[in-house]
Amino acid sequence: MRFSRFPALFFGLLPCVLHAIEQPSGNAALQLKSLTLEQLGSIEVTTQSKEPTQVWDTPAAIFVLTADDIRRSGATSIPDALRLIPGVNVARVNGSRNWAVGIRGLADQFSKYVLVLIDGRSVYTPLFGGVWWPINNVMLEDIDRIEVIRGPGGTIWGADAVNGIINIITKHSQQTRGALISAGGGNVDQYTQDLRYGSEHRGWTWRANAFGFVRSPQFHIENQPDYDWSRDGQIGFRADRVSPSDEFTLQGDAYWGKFGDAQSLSTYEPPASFISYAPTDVAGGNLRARWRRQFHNKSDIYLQAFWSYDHRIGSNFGENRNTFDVDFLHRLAGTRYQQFTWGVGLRLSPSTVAQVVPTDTFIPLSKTDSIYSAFLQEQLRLVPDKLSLTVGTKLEHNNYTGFEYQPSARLLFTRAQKFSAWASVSRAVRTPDRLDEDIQVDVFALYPPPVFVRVMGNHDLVAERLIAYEAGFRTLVRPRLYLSAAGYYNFYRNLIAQGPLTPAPTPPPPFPPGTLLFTIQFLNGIHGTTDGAEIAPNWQATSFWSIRPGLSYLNVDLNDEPGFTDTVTLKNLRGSSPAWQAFIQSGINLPRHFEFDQSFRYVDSLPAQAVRAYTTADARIGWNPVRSLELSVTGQNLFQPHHAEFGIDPPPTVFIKRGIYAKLVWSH
Amino acid sequence: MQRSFTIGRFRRRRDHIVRSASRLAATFTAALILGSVATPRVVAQAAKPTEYDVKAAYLINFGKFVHDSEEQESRPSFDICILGRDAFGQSLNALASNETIDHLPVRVLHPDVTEAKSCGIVFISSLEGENIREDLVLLGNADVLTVSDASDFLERGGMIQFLLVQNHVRFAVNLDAVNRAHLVLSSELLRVAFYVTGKPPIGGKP
Repeated sequence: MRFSRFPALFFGLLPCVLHAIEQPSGNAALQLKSLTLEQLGSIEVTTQSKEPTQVWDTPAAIFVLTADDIRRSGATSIPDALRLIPGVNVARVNGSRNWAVGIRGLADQFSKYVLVLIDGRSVYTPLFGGVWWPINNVMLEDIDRIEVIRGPGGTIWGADAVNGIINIITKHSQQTRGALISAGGGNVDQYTQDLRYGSEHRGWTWRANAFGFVRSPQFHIENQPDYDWSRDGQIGFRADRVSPSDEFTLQGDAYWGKFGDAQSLSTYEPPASFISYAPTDVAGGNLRARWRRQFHNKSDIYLQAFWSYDHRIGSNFGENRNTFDVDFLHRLAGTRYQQFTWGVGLRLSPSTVAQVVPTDTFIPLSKTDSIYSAFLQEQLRLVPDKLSLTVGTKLEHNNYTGFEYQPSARLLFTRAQKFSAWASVSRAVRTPDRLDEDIQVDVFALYPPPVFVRVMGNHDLVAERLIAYEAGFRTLVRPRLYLSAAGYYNFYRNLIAQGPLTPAPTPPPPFPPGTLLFTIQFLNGIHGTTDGAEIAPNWQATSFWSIRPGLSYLNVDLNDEPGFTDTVTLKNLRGSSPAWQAFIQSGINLPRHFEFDQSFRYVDSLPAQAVRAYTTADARIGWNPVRSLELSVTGQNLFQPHHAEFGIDPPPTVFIKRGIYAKLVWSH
Repeated sequence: MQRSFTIGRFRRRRDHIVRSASRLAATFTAALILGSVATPRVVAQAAKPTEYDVKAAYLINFGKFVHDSEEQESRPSFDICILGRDAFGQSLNALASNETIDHLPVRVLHPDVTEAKSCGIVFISSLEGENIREDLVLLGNADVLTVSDASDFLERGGMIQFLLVQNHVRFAVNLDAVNRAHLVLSSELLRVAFYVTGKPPIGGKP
């Protein structure tokens, strides 16, 4: 068959080409021949080993996306940067609404089963129990790394870290001194602008930044309005002070934005439904302080407090929310055989819903969500430096389900940093959110006679529970070939689902007379398993060319619990995450300071979202003519003019466009 | 029963994957050719030095700033020995060629640890992990300068440890280990070190 010639050509060509172009790096070293010790210490280098030491000793499936990975991927937002992590699936819903981010399945438009942290500050919202990506922006040039842990993190991070944790860590202000200006534009990301200045003063290093973006709508089929544009602006600062035993950090941000949106809403009189294209306004800010002290006996304590405020008003409803959080962690001095860590935390989140239309409301309108938590963890070094067992548990009290506990046990085997293997069993919970408990939405269905469906929250929900069995290993197969793989078997119970359509007695006004009312209530109704595996090699093919492929597989076997008959949510959970995902990322350093980066990805179909499997690619050419200037041109989603990634309500599905943008970064 | 797909659907899916893979391979081949056509210039244009290029340059320099406090029999060459995985590639060889330390030619060797006592400098790869302890014990108090980039090398008795400080390669010194081996490090080297632990030699300049 014709196609088989290409791989043959590729693999046949590869060794010859590699032999011809593999030049000894001795030439770079010779430049250093006559330098003094001081001069050697002032040279900025590119590091060869991609995996930081901490990855070897982590008994979980961890992936670290470095600042360089993000820069060279050409991603313009954090969810786009997460696309090339094995086991993570990212689907863009439209130009202004959320991204559906899932780790090991259970993806939905709320990114519910993933805990997202920015510098240790949780951006989980108890409103819909997930994360709203469009308001949680970090200036990409400020990101030092993104650590993604696949698998439950309930023991340390608490509830809602069910399927994974995404930890976005920004650079220390010591590393961002000087000025930086970045500007870019294209057809999809129409305009992005980042500004930053950092300096130091009396022992404190600090930086201030401002950035904003304007994004165009994505592709709509004929006669549909281009409603999903977005505009956002954000300012922020960070100040750090480091002394021999203490580290202080103070950070804050303020943002405001406007997003085009489409919401299907209903009216009582006349009984009808319509689509509102009123935009959504958002504004908010946060402030965070952190103190870490290390003692002479190598124990350390960590204290963090943050406050965040988020305001949103859209055509369906609005919300104002404040969150106050204090966390304390103490790691005791370890002995040769064990190390204890313990901590306590408190989070209070008062919020008020503003009703915009009579059909959409929350009961009660105001509520304070609270979490009190404590955790204890012990690391037993069974064979020092070779085999260790970490056991621990978190105990929490929340205002929805009372006490929840999340224990875990992890075993880690390491052999001289060339090989490490780990296995774990953990329990994690996801507590119900305001949507599950307090929502009341009346949806118009038919006329005549007027038929309405009321979607109701349920105050008697219990927490969703996961017991996860995982294992994995990582190894340096050869000096330039690193391999990591992980597999998992997850048992879920009490997953919250839309209950069956139940007739209700004739409702009073504001319903029109003669209304037939049906109710749908959220119930704990689904259980079952998911299992799968991910494999991610990392190959430094030559000194200037690195290749990173990845493959992940997911099998979903969820079912209604006995006595529960509705299948709406079940179909969604089964068919909204891809069974297979594959990608290859390649980075080539060309002469004259050019970079050529490409990534290819295949995402399997999502039957419940009516989205077909697709393959697409991004490519980027970067040029660094002088140290302070970087220019780049990036093409995204190149294989098709547009493709669908996720469904949306109100329909029709919005297609994600092929995009191209150019960017200039000047730093001093 | 949950996943039932017909043979036809499976075949269509396989063909789709195959078509995508061929497009993938085609673009890769294009990228390779692009890379290889641009290559002839690589020899003249040096890329940013890597971490190991700078470490190799440091090793050569260390040789010039260390000397034995005790009389030593003459040896034919100054040997820089590498224990464990050699991550230097060609950089150390390139710098060592035509170089002299103490008027001796410099050689780069990869001996067994038991033969390493006759080296001038021993660089121990961080991947040696646990074996580093053993390696240092076997080297004993031989007058060999031990260097590594393992993260707790100084605590284990090593003499010079490489550190990566915000993408700059720096080094730290453990004077106790240096003194035990009857070596003396020039004050110029100590001044540039990121930090120095241990006591200075009695009678020596601080």
